[in-house]
Amino acid sequence: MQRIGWLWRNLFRRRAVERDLKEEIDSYVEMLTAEKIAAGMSPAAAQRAAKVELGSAESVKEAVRSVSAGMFLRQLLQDLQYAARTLRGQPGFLAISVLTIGVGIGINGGIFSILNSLLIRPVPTPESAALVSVYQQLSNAKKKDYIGGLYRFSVAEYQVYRDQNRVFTGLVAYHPELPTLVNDDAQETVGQVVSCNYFKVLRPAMTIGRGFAESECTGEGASDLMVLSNDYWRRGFGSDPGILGRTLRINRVPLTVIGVAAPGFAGTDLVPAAFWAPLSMMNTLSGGMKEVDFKSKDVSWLEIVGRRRPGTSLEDVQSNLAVIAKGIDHQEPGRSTTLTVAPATLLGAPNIRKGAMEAGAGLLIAVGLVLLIACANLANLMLARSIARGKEIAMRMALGASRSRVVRQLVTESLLVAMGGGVIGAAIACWSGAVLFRFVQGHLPPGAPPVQLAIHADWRVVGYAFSLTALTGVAFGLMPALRATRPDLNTLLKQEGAGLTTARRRGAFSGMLVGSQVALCMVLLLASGLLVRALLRAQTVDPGFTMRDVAVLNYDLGQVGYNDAQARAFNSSLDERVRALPGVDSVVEAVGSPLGNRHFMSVFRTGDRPEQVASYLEVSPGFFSLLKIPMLRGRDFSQADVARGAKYLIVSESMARTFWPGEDPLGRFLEYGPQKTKWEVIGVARNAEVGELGESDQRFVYLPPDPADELRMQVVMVHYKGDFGALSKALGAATKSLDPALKVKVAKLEDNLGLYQAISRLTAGGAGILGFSSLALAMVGLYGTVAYGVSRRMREIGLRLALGARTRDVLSLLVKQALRPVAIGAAVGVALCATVSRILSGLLFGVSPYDVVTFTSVPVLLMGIALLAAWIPARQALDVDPAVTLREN
Amino acid sequence: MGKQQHSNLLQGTLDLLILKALALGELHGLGISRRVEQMTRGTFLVKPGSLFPALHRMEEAGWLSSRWGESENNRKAKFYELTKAGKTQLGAEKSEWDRISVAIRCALES
Repeated sequence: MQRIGWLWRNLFRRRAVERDLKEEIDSYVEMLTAEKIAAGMSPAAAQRAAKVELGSAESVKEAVRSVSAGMFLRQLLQDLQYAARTLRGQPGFLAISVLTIGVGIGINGGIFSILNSLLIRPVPTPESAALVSVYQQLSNAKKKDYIGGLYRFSVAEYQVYRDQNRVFTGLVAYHPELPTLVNDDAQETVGQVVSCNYFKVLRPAMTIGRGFAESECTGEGASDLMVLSNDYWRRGFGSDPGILGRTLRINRVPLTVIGVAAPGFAGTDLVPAAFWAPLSMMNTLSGGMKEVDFKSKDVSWLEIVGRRRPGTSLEDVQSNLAVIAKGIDHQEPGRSTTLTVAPATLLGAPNIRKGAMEAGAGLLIAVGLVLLIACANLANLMLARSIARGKEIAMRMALGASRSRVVRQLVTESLLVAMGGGVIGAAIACWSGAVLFRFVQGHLPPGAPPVQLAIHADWRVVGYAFSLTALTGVAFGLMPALRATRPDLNTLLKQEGAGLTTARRRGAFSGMLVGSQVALCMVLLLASGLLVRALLRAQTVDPGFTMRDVAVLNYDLGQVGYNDAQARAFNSSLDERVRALPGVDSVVEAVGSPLGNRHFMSVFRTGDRPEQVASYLEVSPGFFSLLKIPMLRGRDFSQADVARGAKYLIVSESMARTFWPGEDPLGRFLEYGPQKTKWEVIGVARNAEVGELGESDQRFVYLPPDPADELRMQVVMVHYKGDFGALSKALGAATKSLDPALKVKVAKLEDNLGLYQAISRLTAGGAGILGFSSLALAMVGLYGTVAYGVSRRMREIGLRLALGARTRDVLSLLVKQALRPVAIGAAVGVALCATVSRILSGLLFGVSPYDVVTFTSVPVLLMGIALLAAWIPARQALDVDPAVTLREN
Repeated sequence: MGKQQHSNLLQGTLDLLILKALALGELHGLGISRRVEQMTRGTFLVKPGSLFPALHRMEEAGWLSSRWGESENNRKAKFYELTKAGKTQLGAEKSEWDRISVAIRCALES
């Protein structure tokens, strides 16, 4: 408490304190003088002797100041005032630095704010800090279907967790991303089905009406109710208050509206919900999946979110739920469950989240590297400034300032500059995140899911911006400050330019800066080079099957109310009509098209080998010949196989190698499905990128159409000759003649590449921008370093020329010396990129992360530009007459 | 004065001596210096460069209080005296010193 009083006094009553101190020391000298006079010295001699004994009064005062409370703060204030004064005198430097840092931090902060809203912030629902998402990873479980993700739950599992847990005040289950047709609209509307406690647990405000009550969900058929989101209510119904009680037809099923949620609430998923319906409506609302037994414990389709009881931690939740999981496991021998429990965020699903975090981190690092390169330029500038103030610094240190004190003052200057940039950066960050996201959203192809993200600039973003600012300030301020205060006062106090050694030592540090810039720049350029190659590949790729001259017809009979039997009739009629169309070579039906946006995964087992998760497609006979995928062994399905429901399957090469390495897979069996039915392998197809473009693991399984799943056969692929437009119209007419109300989409198979191409364009474009910015910054830095270095060595150059050296030789000497750190940096950059480029492989769509073309052309490009950047200033310097340089000092 | 040894004082030792010097009553800066010289029979000469920082530090720590008064020759001088906390601190430093010197003596004799 007392210290605060002293602190106050020392900071704010500075003048009184100093006066007091001065008087005390003066009085000491007086009394000492009096003592000596009393001992017999003359007054003048006594006074002189007393002053000598005291030593430097200023030193004593400084010693007192250094132990007084608040010294650090006082010095800080001093430093800030001094820094402000120096910077005011150099507006050019200030402007450039602040802008560079501001933009760098701004972009970095913008990307962080996107990641923040996606991955870190709790979901945008009221009191969401207590919400927890739960995911599971199963092994050896008897599951038939995983809909939407391997980590989801079945209804039975959800009920067990809901009823037996002791850590949640409520646990909800939901299935997001349910595309439906409302009132026979042309466009799909995306809704969710949710458990009946959804609104009670998540507690959104309601604009009109109410959410679901528990009683409405028990009993069959009593639950044809729905709640609309505020956004949908506005867009689709003009905020009509009479919507309450109205009936809407969702996939031709009537549901009554009982409430509209308040603005801002759209569920806990990245894809916003236009409406919510009870879980029991899943069959009717799920379109093509309506014949799936969602109540079965073999079907996992639910996401679950719980609200923690006050006072329970995540660990408590984890341990309580783990116990429940064990209980469920016991009912199935050999099954084991691993649970992941995490605060509910918009992108929580473990596999996607991991990918998003890696991508996000990579992006932040890339932008951070550009910022770092800019910092190196600033560091060089700071260094030049401190060298120019060399005499002043040497003087201060000679007068007794400790090295750390001077360094602190210099770093305060750079921190002040960084703060200026940081304020601008924080402002840019808050705004650029939203802009960036909208830009990316606008450039996604139409097939992409309709995500919506409200980018908030919350305390995390601002905190991030400011930490970055502090790091930046230290980054470009510390090294130059340390360099400039090296204890070699003699050289600094003498004339500039005479010392060749000074030039070389400073040159070494500058060289190191340039070298690091070049290394980082090389990494970014190589990365963008790789991504550009990937972009080119995505445009001209050969995924292992033919994409030309194949049309894809897409439709969902479930959305218009068909059942399996009706669907079977429709599909076979359609097949007949399509085959009869002019120009049609072959027709194949499937549950999804290759590289399309419907993905199916399941678990396959054989004997004692570890089970494999693989993607699969159910395809009708003729798939492989239509797409020209060679059958390496065995044969395709035949109509007879399908007709009698034979349990045959076809595997890809890699799948065969995984399960039966070195053996003939024909005639072997794979277990698939909850009954562990054995399916016989009748063919091996060559590997093709059927699931994802550029996937390295091409294990794929082809199954014949499941007669019980007719509604899921939503794709018809047609190989044709002639004009696509004409065929497309003919296909549309064919479906209309069977059912005028059915909405169909006709596209070319090549269009499936659209998503990959869009992603490629974005990443290549972004990386290209980063790569070029870093190149520009590094080359500007190099140019400046060489120009500055050469200007300091004018005397030496003049000497060499006067002594008879040829211009050419001096030029090549200067350029070689300038390029040495560049070459080292380039080599380091190449090595660095080679070690980390594997991270990019997910975005490279098959281009090797060590692609030779990129790894040779980019370094050559960089060195070429560097050569130019070094040659120009050196050449200019040599144009000056040596007589002039030798005369100047 | 040249005969006497100047020894380096550790900060803690200087604190102890200053506190002891003020045990009998208030003194001004020069007086404290002279008293310490006298108490230690000339072994320790406290220079102003060490004295003033120590005095101000101990004052800020709450062990001393100061006031402006008049010296013997009617000159303005700043006087320091022990506070209650200072007296306690003196006792504490004394015991600490005893403990240390016993330990060192043991070490040297073993």
